[in-house]
Amino acid sequence: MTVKKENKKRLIYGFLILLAVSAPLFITGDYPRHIMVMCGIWVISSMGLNLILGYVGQLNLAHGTFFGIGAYATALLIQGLGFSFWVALPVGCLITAILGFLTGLPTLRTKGHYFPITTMCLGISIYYVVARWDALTGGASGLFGLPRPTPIPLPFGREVAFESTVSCYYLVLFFVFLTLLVIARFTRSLVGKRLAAIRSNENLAQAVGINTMRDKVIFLSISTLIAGLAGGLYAAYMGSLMAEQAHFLGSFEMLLNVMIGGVGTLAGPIIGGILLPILTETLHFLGNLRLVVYGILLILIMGFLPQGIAGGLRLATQYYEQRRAAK
Amino acid sequence: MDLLLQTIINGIVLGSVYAMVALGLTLIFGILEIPNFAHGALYMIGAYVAFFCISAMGASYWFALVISIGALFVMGMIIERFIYRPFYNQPHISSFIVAVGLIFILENGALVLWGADFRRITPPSNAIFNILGITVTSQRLLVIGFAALLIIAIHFFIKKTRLGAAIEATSQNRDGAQLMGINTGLVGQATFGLGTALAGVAAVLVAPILLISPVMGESVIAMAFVIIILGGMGSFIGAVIGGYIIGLMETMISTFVTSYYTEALIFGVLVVILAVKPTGLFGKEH
Amino acid sequence: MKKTSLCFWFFIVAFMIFLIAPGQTVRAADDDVITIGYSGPLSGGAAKFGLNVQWGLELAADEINALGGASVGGKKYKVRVVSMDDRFQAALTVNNAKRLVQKEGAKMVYNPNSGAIFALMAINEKEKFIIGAYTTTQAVVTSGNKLLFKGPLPMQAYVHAFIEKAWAHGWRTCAMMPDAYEYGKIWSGIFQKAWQAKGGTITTNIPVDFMKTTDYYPMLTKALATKPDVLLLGSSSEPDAIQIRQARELGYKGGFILIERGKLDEIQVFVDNMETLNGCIGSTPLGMTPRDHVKTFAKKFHKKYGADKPLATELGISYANALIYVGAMVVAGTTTDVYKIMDAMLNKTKDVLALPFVKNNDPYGYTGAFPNGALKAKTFGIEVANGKYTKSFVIDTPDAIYTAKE
Repeated sequence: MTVKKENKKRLIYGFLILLAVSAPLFITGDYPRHIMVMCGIWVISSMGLNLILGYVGQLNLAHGTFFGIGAYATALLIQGLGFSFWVALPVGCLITAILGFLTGLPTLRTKGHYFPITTMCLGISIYYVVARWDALTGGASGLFGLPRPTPIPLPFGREVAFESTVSCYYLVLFFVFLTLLVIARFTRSLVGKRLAAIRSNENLAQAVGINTMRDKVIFLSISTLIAGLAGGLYAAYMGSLMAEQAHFLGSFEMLLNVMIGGVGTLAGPIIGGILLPILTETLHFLGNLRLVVYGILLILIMGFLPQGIAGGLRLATQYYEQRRAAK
Repeated sequence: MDLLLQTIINGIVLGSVYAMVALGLTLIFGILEIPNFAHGALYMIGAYVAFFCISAMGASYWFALVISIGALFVMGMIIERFIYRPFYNQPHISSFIVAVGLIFILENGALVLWGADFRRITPPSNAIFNILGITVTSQRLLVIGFAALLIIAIHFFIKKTRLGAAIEATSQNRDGAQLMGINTGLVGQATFGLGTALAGVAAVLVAPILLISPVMGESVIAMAFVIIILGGMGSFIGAVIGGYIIGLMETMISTFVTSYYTEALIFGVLVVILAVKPTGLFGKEH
Repeated sequence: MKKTSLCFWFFIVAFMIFLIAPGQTVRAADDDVITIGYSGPLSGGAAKFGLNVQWGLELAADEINALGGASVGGKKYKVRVVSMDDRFQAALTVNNAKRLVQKEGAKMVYNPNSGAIFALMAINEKEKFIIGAYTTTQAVVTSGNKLLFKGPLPMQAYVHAFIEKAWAHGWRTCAMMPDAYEYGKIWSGIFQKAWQAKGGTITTNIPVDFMKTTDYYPMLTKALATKPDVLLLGSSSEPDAIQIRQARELGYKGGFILIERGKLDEIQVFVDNMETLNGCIGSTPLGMTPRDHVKTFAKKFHKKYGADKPLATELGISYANALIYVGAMVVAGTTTDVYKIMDAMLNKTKDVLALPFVKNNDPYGYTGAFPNGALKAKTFGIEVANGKYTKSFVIDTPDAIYTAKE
């Protein structure tokens, strides 16, 4: 890429970051800001699913359950053991990462449908444990009364508190950027390149000596860690949890985000994670019809635009570039 | 009432339903290698078709059953041809996702069209039998009997008829079958229709015992998948035996061990089995 | 390729802003409209219940508007209900509530899901809106939230009344099959304590997840094997009906106590004949209660929503609650000061209930309120014997249960 393009790229990235960071200045009103926070959380979760689905090519149907595990783990550490959010969150993420690791070891050996089905069973099983283990998780009624993250002390006696929606937005935004960085790193690293090789031809990759299992398991663990991160943020922001948060149907929602946004791309889950929740809010009056439309959209995207919106825009830009080059 | 015997009968009834649904699912998978995740939603549609036949048209239960079978057969063929077939050349994950989309459409379509209310079909007969200290209603006997009949019928269909042979050949080796002149496309389509129709039969048979609702397929489909995975995807025997085993297991556990944690236990055990032997007990490597 | 991903970034953020920006304008309290916000399950398994609650609110709005509106502080106000679906999920309820308050100008959000109510209780005092809590869970009124009122009566009332009746039949052993959700757990917990305190035996406890269960035979088989005199059932009406039918099929001849989520008039539709229901003890269907104004309410309901729909109790409760809410505004003289409105509702309840549009229409018979937000009323239970409904019996609600800790 030419230096000029490189600089142009940096400029646009900077502009977008500026936009995201300054958004609360021109988006006023608690309700829209609340939506932005939720979008941020869904974006993080979608990025996690995209990691395993788009780069490893496996559908983790327990993704929603890992989200729930992260949420409950963080919540219980705060409520039950009195940890501060800042300790509970990383520990919660660690827990989901370890669980993802343990899940991946036996299941990623298989190809094809076995992984989704096995993870679905895992998701159902854990969901019922969460929903029924009243003493631990509050069962069907769930947990409530979770406090916001404790304020971060700053020099000169000031502090950053998280009571307002705006402050939570920045907290979530921070983690969105962090997750993005981590994912970008991993997918562009040697590991990511190896996985791309695996995706195109697994047997050849194995013949060349790539230890596919190790890479796949790493990606799954990171994917579940991210899901747990999103869950922990959800718990702290919402202040209450119900067993539904651990239901594997949550995986379907993230699946929609990822597929419609554009699977296997960096921007895809971000697009999907912002667009779909907003559409859900604005198209509220349609009721279940909205979900029928999503279903149709999903199939159409699979058929005509497998790379989702991100892919579509890419094609459009390529077409535009080609026409310019032809002149 | 003898608790053990009653539980066994309950288990066989449930197992019959599972076996029929799983059989349909495994037939489809054997030929097309598609895990039709939307099978449960189609099962639900089968029940609604029968319900509307009876309530809106005043049809008899048996007539409604026949209509439902026909409707689902056609639906299955259409879905195979226009929704799944375009994705055969793509990685397996694509059909899975397409199936998820289908579930969204069918379940929510049902909710939009028919509402969330529970519906009820009255059974053709209210007779109750008390034998050996157990209670069996005529409808439950119907379920058991019909399932057994259907299973035998399908078995003979596959082994003895030409279409059945074509199905078996296609499922074993698609290319080879094509070389032999079998129209694998049509065979696949017909099989999908057949599998879906089986789900419909199960739904209509079981509807008078339970309640009809747009989400009634959800619990069945999860179990059905588990069954065919355990029994081996594509294996006729696996689906049938697996269905009865799971049905009995579920009833036994919920009666004698715990009904509060039944699902958690069953699915947890399944995860362990799948982790150790992903191809199931009778299955072949795909 | 790198450049294109930037474009997407740009589009994402731009799109996001585009979609959110228009939603910024906060609707000022519309000059002559009182908005009641409702978030409830309008799809999914609880949809019928959620819709009933909504219709009750809407009928109240119709009622007041037909009289020319409510007169608050010298001005006439029309009442409207804005309703949103939350699929019984607390996270969506919170979303909806924020939108109802900020975009639609609602000062009260009505909701029938105790889990969601708890979530709302974390934000309502900050965002200054009243929660209309449709729940029998006592915990919502014991936490000190000042902007909440609770319409349904405490479940303790039902528990004790039903136990008395069961006892009168000579029933001493009970098998519990409550629903597997929070409601059933709390209800059956209270029931078990009270039943055992009287000297009765609980033979088994089998929670029923009625939203997901495929077949009730295994659970019933297990319960009936313990040879109970009476079965406690806790599902919604249709699953209750199935369980009753199947229990009879299995040869059960004893009685049933129905947690008030199951309504006898709805259950009746799903069984073949009334004899099946002999021995049922449950809450009296609204249409059969000996209360004032029930018949006129029924007429209005059937006229607007169809003669085939059963007159569910939740209709009457939400209807009456909405009337009381607007009435409190009238007495307080303000449509925006939520603290004054709550004060009027809880401390000047007599005045509120005396208002003509409340007094002449309340089909639930509210008589007062407590400082913790609980509204007081009498309710009725009923039994089925010899294939017929018995006369309704009064369910006593002493003050103590409204203020109890749990």
